[in-house]
Amino acid sequence: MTAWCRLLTASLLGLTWVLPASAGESPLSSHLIEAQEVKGDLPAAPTDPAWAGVPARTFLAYPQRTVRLNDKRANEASKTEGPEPLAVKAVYNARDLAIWVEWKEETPSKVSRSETNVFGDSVAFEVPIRFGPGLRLPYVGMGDQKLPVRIAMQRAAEDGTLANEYVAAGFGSLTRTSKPFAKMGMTYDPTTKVWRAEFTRPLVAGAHSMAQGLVPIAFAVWEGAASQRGGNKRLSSWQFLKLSRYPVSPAYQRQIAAAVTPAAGSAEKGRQLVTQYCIGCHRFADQQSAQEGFAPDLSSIGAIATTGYIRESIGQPSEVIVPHLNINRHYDKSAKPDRFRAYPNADGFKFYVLDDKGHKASKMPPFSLPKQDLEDIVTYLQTLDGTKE
Amino acid sequence: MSKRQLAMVMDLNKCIGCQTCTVACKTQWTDRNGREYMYWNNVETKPGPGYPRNWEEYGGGFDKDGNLQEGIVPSKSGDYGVPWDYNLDEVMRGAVLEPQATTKIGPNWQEDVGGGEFPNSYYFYLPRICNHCSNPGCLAACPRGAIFKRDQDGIVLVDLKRCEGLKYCIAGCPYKKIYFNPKISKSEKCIFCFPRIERGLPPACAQQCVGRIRFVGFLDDKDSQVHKLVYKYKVALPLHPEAGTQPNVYYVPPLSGPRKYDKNGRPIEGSDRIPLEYLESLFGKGVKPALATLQAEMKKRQDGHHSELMDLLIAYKHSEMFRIQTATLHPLKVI
Repeated sequence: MTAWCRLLTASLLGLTWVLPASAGESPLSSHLIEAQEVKGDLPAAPTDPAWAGVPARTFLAYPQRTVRLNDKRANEASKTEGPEPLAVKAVYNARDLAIWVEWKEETPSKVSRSETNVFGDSVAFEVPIRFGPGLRLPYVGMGDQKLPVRIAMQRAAEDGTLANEYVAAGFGSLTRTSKPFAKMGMTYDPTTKVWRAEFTRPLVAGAHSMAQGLVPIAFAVWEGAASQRGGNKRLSSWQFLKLSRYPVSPAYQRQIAAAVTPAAGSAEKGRQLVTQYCIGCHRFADQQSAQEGFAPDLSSIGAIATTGYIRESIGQPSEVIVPHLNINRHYDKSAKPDRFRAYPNADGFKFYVLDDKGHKASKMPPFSLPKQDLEDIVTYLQTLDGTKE
Repeated sequence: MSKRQLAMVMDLNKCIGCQTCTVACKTQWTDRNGREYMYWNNVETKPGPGYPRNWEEYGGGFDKDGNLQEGIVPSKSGDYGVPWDYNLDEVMRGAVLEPQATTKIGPNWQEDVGGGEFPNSYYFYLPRICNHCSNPGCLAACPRGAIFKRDQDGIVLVDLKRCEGLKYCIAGCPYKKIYFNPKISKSEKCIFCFPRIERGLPPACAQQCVGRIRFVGFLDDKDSQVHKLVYKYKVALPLHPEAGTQPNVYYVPPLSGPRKYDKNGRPIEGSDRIPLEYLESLFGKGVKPALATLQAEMKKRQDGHHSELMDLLIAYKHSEMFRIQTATLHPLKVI
């Protein structure tokens, strides 16, 4: 037994103290990834035997359905695809943090340096650039304009692992960082048919610190064989990396718990209300009458969004304006084309409108509903996990 | 969408399928750095599957209401063709000429097939570049906004700094004229030779064209050849206008050629060797009036009268084919 493993055992025993058994059912603890503190070096690769002693938490990544991209093969493959279980582990020492992800893949695929339609299996995590007491969580789909995220992504390629880091303020805004922090590597195990990936980065890197007691973190995986890349992916909801070495203020703990505690209304009443109010613009479950691309598709909103976000998006939809896809995807055929026969874009497909001062406001008006109605609606929306066709 | 729009008109009655345009483009832009398999300019035989194979079935473009449609990303080995070399050194020592790879598909693989049954078979050549569309499908499909249309001339370009190689543009282009470079993991396409345009020169494919079939100019310039062919005489038509991207490369459709023969080998008067329906499936409903105009103007000229259209299409001089006046610092004279 290495010194590292001994230490790990010690900290595992300490777990019962950090995380009381009853907390296993509390809403917050079901979103926690307990990072194990170690002295000395962190495991150097996803295959490092030291990882075997670290407990994993498994949660699901769901197909991205908020917007629908235009690759026919990817969309066809996505129709029948369910959620992907991700097993995640984390360890840290005084300086660095290592995150380990394992997921099943029957048909591994790597980025090709010669073929044009081969896609690589990939994994990424995002962490808000700013987080903590008083700050809401960023939009789970790669952050938002007020609260951007930092993303580390690795792709399996035939000439090694392609590692990139980005900052993003909502999908479409992904921009490579000039100063990457993380070391990455991923390995396929053909006997158990799983990918294992590791990300290692300094706890404090530049102005970005993960040296806090509760770090919001979300994951995404891409299946190359299903033509997944970019927005065609599976993503998790916000999870929380718990680094016991650092204190967590009770206020922050309460805030996070409130954000992830499921609503407790009537899903059936909620379904009726949502059908009454929302189907003109939104698609979800078997309600597909709204125009495609007119508003975010809610088919898997319950699986990827927190209770707090769903509630806020109804009451204050302008707090986070979900980005629409490229507005040039829809043009206005009823308008007069210009002298080069170009039609103007159909601005109705923008998810925002500009107010008199030129500020962006969500196209969706704020709904002030009786408290119980709101609770019922949120309860229903939380049942939407992309499986109700 | 743009303030001005460059356009190209290709007269299919004059294309001899020599591929000089293809070679001009390839040597200028695509013979290196992962672009070897790409033909920003290709010439394919119609009817035929073209390049990439069966591109007309691969989706993209817009539906009748103006919404982007799904498409697929073709495969290099299965649809475009992997470039190969020949055993030229061995041939010098007496060997038989053979490709150094198992070749399954290449650009214009079915060059000699065409359509129809002997003796009434037919074919024509269709040179293709990026259409620099007014509502480009590639631009619309990019989730990152990495493709843009230049205001000053409507040329559609990829911002390689923003491109993350996601390939949605390839699915979105109904002409499959934007390509993935697997070596650099980014999309690349015909740039309408904008560095030449900025010097007042036509694209290399147009400059080198042996049949002098290509006219280049601004659509909004009433004195340009392209304006006259597209708007005044309406003999130049867009390819697959139903794809909804408003392409800016226009084609003068091919006249039907010799009459069809009956079973006794006698020509059938009034018959069309190239079926009108086939031409309409490529160039839309403008084909019939365009062919009628061409025939009427030909007749006029044969009868000894002046025809501006015929003089235009003959294209005696480059200066009568290209009218590229741009706000450029160093214009070079077109010779």
